[in-house]
Amino acid sequence: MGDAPSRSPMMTQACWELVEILSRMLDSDEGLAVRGDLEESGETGLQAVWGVLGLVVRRQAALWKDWRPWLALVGLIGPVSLLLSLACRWLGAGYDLYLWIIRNRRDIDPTILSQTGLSVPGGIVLLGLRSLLLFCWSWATGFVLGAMSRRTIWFNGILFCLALFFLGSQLDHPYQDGVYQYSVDGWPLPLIFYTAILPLILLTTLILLPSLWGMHQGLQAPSRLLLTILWVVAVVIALSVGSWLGWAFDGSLQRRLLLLAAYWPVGYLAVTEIGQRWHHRIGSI
Amino acid sequence: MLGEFEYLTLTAATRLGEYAYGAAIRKEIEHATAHRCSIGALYTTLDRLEAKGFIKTWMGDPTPQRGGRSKRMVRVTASGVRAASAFYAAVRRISEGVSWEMHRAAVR
Repeated sequence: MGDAPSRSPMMTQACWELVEILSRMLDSDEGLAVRGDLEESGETGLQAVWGVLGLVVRRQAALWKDWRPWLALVGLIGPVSLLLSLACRWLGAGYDLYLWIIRNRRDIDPTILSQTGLSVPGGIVLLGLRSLLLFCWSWATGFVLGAMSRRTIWFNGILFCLALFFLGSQLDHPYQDGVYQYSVDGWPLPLIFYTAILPLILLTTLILLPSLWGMHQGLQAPSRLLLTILWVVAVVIALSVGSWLGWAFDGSLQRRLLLLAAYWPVGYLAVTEIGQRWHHRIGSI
Repeated sequence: MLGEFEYLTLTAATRLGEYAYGAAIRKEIEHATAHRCSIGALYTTLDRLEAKGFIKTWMGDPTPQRGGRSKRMVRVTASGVRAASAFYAAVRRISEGVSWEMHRAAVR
């Protein structure tokens, strides 16, 4: 492919592989035409990478003239990824507690459990519902991120995933003075499971995977997913209405703002879907 | 009013006629200017010219020398010809009475 003899075939191969990957960030027709042009012109692997990279950067820069990717960046990636990450950590603490109760239920005085309002069946239902809420909330966030970012999803999506993993852990880590803050005796599994493995499992299954799935669907035509969107919105509203009311009437201004920041993707989904349906109905009359 | 690179692109595409496509236009520009022409600059300029209605582009047939990949073919429209002609006329008018050879000698 026109590479200088001094370049190793492996390097050349790697460069052209990179050209293939980069050109996928372009429209499919444009990617084909550009790769064909580079091959016909006898460019070296490095020149080809540089050329495609330049075009990709120009195309990405042009996409950022729209306000929607900016809204996704500022309104979703910062606050919502942080809140999702924190919610996951708090849920992880709940899992820790109930795993401990289940493991030690024979040794615990039932009156203590009833006084504290903790019970195994109630705990399982609570954790199940909160997990479902987190799953739907993550899907809705991913969907809005995909729908707003469109072709900037490469940038916004990667940033969102990085923020999920690193932002929450910076603000709320489970150690206090080097000791795990929920530490109690009699845990069924080693400490590393609670401090590292369980949070990672929860973050991956309840946030990362559903938000990636949502991003993928948000990039497609949303009208096909009307039923899914309405179900997700309904589940999120039904499962979180209690805390909404508590926070909206009794909470401080910061709490109310936090509530607004957390749930705006779900509100955005509901409003845009209802708006689209209404326009469709008006149009068909 | 066209930009300098837009004018070069339109002129190269006009010269190439029915054989005008990305790689060929790029080669023409590099030959004329004796500078490398980045593929990013060319393709974004093609988009801009198409948005202005100065060219029309479409995907051509795949060819073996391009690894079976299609070309982005280019045709200059009537308004593209008018725009390039106006740009060339402006360059000629503003250049009247200016001798770059003489100027270069004076600078030396």
